[in-house]
Amino acid sequence: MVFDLNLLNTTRGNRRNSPAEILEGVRSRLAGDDELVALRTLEPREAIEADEVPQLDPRLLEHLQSKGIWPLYSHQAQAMNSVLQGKNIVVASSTASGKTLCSTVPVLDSMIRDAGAHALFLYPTKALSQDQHRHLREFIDGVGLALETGIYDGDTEPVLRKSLRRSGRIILTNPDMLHTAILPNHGGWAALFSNLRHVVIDEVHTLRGIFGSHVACVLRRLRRICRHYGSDPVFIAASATIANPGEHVEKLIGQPVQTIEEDGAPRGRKHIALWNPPVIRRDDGTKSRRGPASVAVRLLPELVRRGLRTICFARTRNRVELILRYIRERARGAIDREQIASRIEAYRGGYLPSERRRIESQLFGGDLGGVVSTSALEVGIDVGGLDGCIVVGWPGSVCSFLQQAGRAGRSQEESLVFLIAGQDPIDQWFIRHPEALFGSSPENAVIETENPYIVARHLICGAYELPICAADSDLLGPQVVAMCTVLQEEDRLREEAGSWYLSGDEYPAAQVPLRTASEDNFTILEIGPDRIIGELDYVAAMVSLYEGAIYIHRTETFIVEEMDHINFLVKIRRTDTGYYTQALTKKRITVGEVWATKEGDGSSLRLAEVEVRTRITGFKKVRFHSVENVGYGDVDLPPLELDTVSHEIRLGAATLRAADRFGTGFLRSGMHGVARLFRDLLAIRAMCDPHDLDHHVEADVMHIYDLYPGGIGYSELGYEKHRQILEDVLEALVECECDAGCPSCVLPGSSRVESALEKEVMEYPYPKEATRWLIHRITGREEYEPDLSAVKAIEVESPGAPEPTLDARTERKIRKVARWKSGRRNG
Amino acid sequence: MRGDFQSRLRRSLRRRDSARASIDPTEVEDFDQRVADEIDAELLEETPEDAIFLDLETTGLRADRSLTALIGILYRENDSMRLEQWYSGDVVAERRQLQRLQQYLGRFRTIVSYNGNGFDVPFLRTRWRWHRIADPTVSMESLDLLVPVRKKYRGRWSDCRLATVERELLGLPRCAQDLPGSEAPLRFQDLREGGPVSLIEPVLLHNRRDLMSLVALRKVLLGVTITDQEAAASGGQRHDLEAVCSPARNRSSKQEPS
Repeated sequence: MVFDLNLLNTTRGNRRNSPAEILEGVRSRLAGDDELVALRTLEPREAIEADEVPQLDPRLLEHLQSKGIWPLYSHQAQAMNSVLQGKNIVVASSTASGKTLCSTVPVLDSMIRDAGAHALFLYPTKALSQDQHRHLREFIDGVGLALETGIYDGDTEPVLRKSLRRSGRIILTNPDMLHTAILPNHGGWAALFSNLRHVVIDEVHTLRGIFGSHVACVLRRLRRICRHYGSDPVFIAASATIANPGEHVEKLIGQPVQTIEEDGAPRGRKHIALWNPPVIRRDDGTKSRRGPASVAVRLLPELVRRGLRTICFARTRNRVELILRYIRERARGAIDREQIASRIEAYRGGYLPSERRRIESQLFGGDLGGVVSTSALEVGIDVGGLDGCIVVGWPGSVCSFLQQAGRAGRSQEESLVFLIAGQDPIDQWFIRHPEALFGSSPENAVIETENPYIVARHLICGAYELPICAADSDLLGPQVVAMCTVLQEEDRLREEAGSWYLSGDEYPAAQVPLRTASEDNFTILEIGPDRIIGELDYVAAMVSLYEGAIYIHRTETFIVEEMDHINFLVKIRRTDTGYYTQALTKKRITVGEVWATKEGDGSSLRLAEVEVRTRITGFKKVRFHSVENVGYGDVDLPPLELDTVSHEIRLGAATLRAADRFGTGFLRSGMHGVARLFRDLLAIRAMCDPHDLDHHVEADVMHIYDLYPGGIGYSELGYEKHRQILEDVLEALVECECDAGCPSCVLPGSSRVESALEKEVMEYPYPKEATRWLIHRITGREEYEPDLSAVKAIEVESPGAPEPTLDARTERKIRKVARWKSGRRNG
Repeated sequence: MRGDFQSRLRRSLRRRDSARASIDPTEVEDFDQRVADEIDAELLEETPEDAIFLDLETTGLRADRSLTALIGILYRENDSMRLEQWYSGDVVAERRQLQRLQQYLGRFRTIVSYNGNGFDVPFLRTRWRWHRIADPTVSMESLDLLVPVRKKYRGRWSDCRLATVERELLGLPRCAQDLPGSEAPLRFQDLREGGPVSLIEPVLLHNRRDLMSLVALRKVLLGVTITDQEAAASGGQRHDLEAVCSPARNRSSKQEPS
C-alpha cells in the first residue's frame, strides 16, 4: 500500500479550491511536518451494470429510465430479483451505492401488483427516516402511485398517527418505536400486520452490540405478531461493508438470508488524510499529544472559509458543544472569522425536535457552511452533497469511520476527509496500521441473542402483546416454556391453560429501553426564563446532573440547582463558571459463577459472572482549556450495581514474588497498564464500542468485563483471544513514542477517566516499564529488566486537550451500571 | 461455557424486581340467579331453548386494548329463565370466562343481542382470537334486534338506543338511576384499582335490565313486524356471522352505537 504525499502530482488542480488544493493548503498552513501521517486518494471507479434485469412493472421501469437510474448496477438487479422471488436478503455495499433502490423498487412493485400489500421500513434514527421518507415520497410521486406513506415516530402528530394506522401502506419508523408503540398496540395496526409483505431494515450494521441484541428480540416479537395476523414478511436489509453481513442478519431476524456483497456502483475521487496531532512538551517537562478537538477547532473554520461544505463528527455531545464553543471563542474580535463561525452550527440528540429540524433544513439549504455533529448524522443521510468531512477522534469502528467519510462526496464529486487521531491506544493503533481502514476485512457485527436480561424483558413485552405458549418456541427460542416458568415463579407472568399472561397491569415496553440505560427522562428547566431546554434520560442524568454539576447546552454553561426526583425535573441556572464537572467513582467486584478456567503464562484465567458495585463518591471541578482541578464537591447517591461477565487474569505466585523487589506501586501500576490496554485492544477485535467494556484491578487480579447486565459476549472473546490481545498490548507499548508512559499507552487520560486510583499508583513514575515487565511475565517471555531511571511519566491530571464535562467512557460506564438503580426504583 | 441459563435468568429477575408487590387479580364471584318471577309464563313459553341472550360490558370500545369485563347471558332452562353475569378483572380471568363462554355457546343455536353484530360479537371474536381460543360463533346464528328496529323505526324515533326502544315499544321507561353504559369502563377501572365491589352494582343492574328487555323485545318485534325468517332476510346478514364480523365487511357496514 502506498500513501501518496504529493497529491498535487496526481490530481488535476485546474479548479479553484478543489479538495486536493485545499488539502495542500491545509497541509502547509495548519499541519506540522509529521502530522499528516497518511494521505490516500481513492480513485474514481466505473459502474458495473446489470446484465440480468428484474421483471418490473412498466411504470416503475419507465420512471427509473426517465430518472437516469437505468440500467441498474449489478448488485441492485441481483437484490431485486431475489426479493421478487420472496427471499430475505442483505445488501452490503459501500456508502452511496444505491442500496435504497434495492428495497424501494421491489416493495413498490409488490404494491402495484397487490393492492393490499403493506411494508414497514426501519431506520436506526429519526433523522434518517426523515430523509428517506423525502426520497421515497419523491419516487412514489414520480412513478405516479397513490400510496399513503408516513413516518411514525415520537414526533408524529396525533392526527397523522391515526391515519397511518388506518390506511398507511408504507410505515417508516425506528426499532424503538416499533417496540414501545406499534407492537404493543398491534390491534390498532391490524391492516398493516394482516398484509405485511416486506420489512426493510436499513443500516443493519448499526444494530449490533446491546442495541442489536435488543432489536433481535423485537424482530422476533414482530414476526410473532405477523403470524397472528396471518402474514409472513420478507426481510430486506441494507448494511455497510462489514465482514459478516449474512451471519449478522440471520442472527438478527432468526431466518436464513441471501447475502449480496458485490458493489457495482461508481464512486468519485476521495482524499483521505490521517492527522496525528503532535506530541508536545508541557511546562512541567512532560510530553503528551495534543487533543484532536483542538485541531478540529482550527481546521473546520478553515475548510468552511475555503468554501468546502463540511461536517465534523465528534463522539460525545459535550465534545460537539465544546468544539463549537471554542470555534466561536477563537473567532471573537475578527469580523470575517465571526462570519464564518456564525455559519457553523452544532447538531446532536438532546435538542428539541424543532431546533433539530431547523438546523437540518439550513444545512440542506446551504445557509450553513458546516456542522459539528454527534454520530446522529452518521448514517444514510445525503446532507445535500457535502464536500468535506472531519472525524475528530476514532469514531469507534472502521465501519463508522467509512460511514462518516461517506457523508462527503455524494454524486461522485471529489471530496476530502480528515481523521484526526486522539491519544487513545485505539486511535494510535490505526495511525500505525492505516491499511486497516482501507483494506477489505473490516469488522464483525456482534449480537448476543441469549442474554437472559434482554431475552426475559422481551418475553414480558411479548406476553403483553399476545399470550405466550409453547407453539411460540420456533420464534422465541426452544427455552420459551422454561423461561416463562421462571418468570411465573418471579411473579411477572401467570399461566392459564398453557398460555402465559402478564401478571400485572403494566405496559412493559415502556420500561425496556433498547439503547439508553433508563426508562424515564429528566426534563431540564432553566430557572429565570423558566423554559425547558432539553431532556436527558434517567441514568445519564444521575451521573452527569447532581446538585453542583455543570450542564453545557449549546456552548453555554448552567449550574444544577435542584434535582427533583419525584417530578423528574432538573432545575438549572445559567452561569459563567469557567469549569466543568466530572464524577468520581469507586468500584468493588464480587465473583459469582465461574464459566471457564485456563492456565496462562505466569497467570491463571477465568471467565466468570461478577457483580460490580460502583459508588459515585463526589465530583471534581475542572477548568476549561487548562484542565486544572479547581475544586471538589460531594454527591450523595446510593451505589450502583452491575451483574455482568468478566475475563479475569489472576497473577501467579511466582510473578507476585518476582515483582516484590520493585515495590508494590510497580506491580499495581503495571497491572493497570495491562488492563487498560487490554480493554482498548479487545474493543478493536470485538468490533465493539470501547465504552462497552471496563476494567478493574483488585489485589492480584485484573478484571476486564462487559458493561452490560448479563454480558454481551465481549469478555468471552477476550478470554478466547487472550494471548493475541496480549501481543497487541505489547506492540502498542513498544511502539508508543512516549518516554515513561502516557495516555496513548498505559496511563488514564482524557478519555480514560476512571475510578479514583490510589495515590501510590497515580504517582508511580515508571508505569510503562512496569507494564512491559508484566507483559513479558504473562506472555512467557524472558524477564524484562525495567529501566527505573528513565524520565518520569507525565502527570495523570494533564492530558493536554480541552475535554467535555463528563467523558463518554465514564458516562456510558456509569449509565449502564446504574441500570440497576432504575430497575429497582421501578420495582 | 455459558453457565446455567435458568439460574442466570432467575437471578436477573430477582434483582431487578425484588421489591415488586404482587397484584392480586380482582376476583369477583359470578352473579347468577333465576329470574322466573320477572318473566311471565307466556313470554317464557315463546322463548326458544336454543337462543341465548347476550350483552357485554367492556373496559373500552376497542377490542385490541380492552377486556370483556362482564359477560351477561340469559337463557331458558326448562321452565325458568336463568341469568348469569361473569366478571373478569384481568386477562387471565378473562381467558377463563371466555373459555367457559365458548363451551356454553355450544349448547345454543342463536345469539340474541342488541347491536351484537356491530359490537358484542366482533369484540368477543377479537378477544377469543387474542387468547387463541377457537371461535364458537362460526356455526351459530346471530339475531341482532337492532337490525329490525332500525329498519322499521329509523327516522321515526330520535334514536334507536335500547332505552328508547323499551319506552316506545315496551312502554317501560328506564328509571333515573340507570347507569349510562358509557360509565361502566370507569367503574371497572375503579374496581380493578382496589375499589369496593359495590361500585359495579349499577353496572350489573344495567346489564341485567338490558338482557331482560331483549327477551320481551324479541317477542314484540316478532309479533309487530317480522318473523325470525324476515329478520334474517332483512339486511341479509343475520345468519352470516362470518361476513358480518370479518374486518373488511365490519368496517364498511359499521353501525352507530345502539
